[in-house]
Amino acid sequence: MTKIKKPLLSALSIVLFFIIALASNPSKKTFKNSASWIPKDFNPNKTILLVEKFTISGKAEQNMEDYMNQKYPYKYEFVDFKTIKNREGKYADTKLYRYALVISSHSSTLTKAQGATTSGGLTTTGFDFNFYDRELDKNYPPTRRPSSYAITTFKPVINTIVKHFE
Amino acid sequence: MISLSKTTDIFLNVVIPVFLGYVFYLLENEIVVPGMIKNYLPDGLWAYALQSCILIIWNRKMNIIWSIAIMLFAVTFELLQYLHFIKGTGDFYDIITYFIFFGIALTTNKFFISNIYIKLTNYDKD
Repeated sequence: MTKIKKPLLSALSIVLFFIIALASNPSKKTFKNSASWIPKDFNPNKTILLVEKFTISGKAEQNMEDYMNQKYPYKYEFVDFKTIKNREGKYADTKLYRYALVISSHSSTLTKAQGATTSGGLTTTGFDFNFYDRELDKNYPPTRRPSSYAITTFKPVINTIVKHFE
Repeated sequence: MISLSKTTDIFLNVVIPVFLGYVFYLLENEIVVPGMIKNYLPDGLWAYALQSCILIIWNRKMNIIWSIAIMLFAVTFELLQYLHFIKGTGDFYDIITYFIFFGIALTTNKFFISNIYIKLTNYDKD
């Protein structure tokens, strides 16, 4: 291999890996099971979607708001869970603010295999999202694609909703 | 002593890590593994593959300039995400992960040369 080829190949490798890194970004990912968690009556053109604030982390919350601003072409508002549930003030209009996207977290435990010598299981917490119908006080199923980082699930959730109504 | 061809080296240290990282990316919302592994292992495998790729191009001889170049590239990549110039979420821990896996690739490079690799005749010579 000539001395000219090596720097060229090295530079090309960096470009290739840059493309791989960009392609492997949750910003483009969607979930294929949208029918199981997007309400049939949900129409983002007719209602304003309420999104529950992620109060655990201010930075994650900001990332979620930035992402909605970039990707979600319909009307939405970030509010806390209490506001979603209480239906007070302008949010009492459950026709206009019918649906909310709320955070559902759950823990999963990897239990000890039979015969294993270690004593404990490994518990992980995953953040998921589900629609909540404020008019009917009804929770829809979560996406069942939880992640330890809320933003990792939030991005595909928003992508999926946007794609669903394209 | 085991001898590997350059093709096998590329497959083992570049193709497989990238593929595994991609599989983790695809399945990150499907499998139950600790968050740290789920979020950082694909980045780490990517960094390992990139460093290995550069090492293999340079016949497994450490090239300081290109090694530093890819480290700067990784930092810049995260910085550009943080500043929203490119898609993604800039994360300081991603940078730490990149450096750990760059280090693993550099460390195993010595192992490959001294223990496994050795037929440098498998490589093109300058």
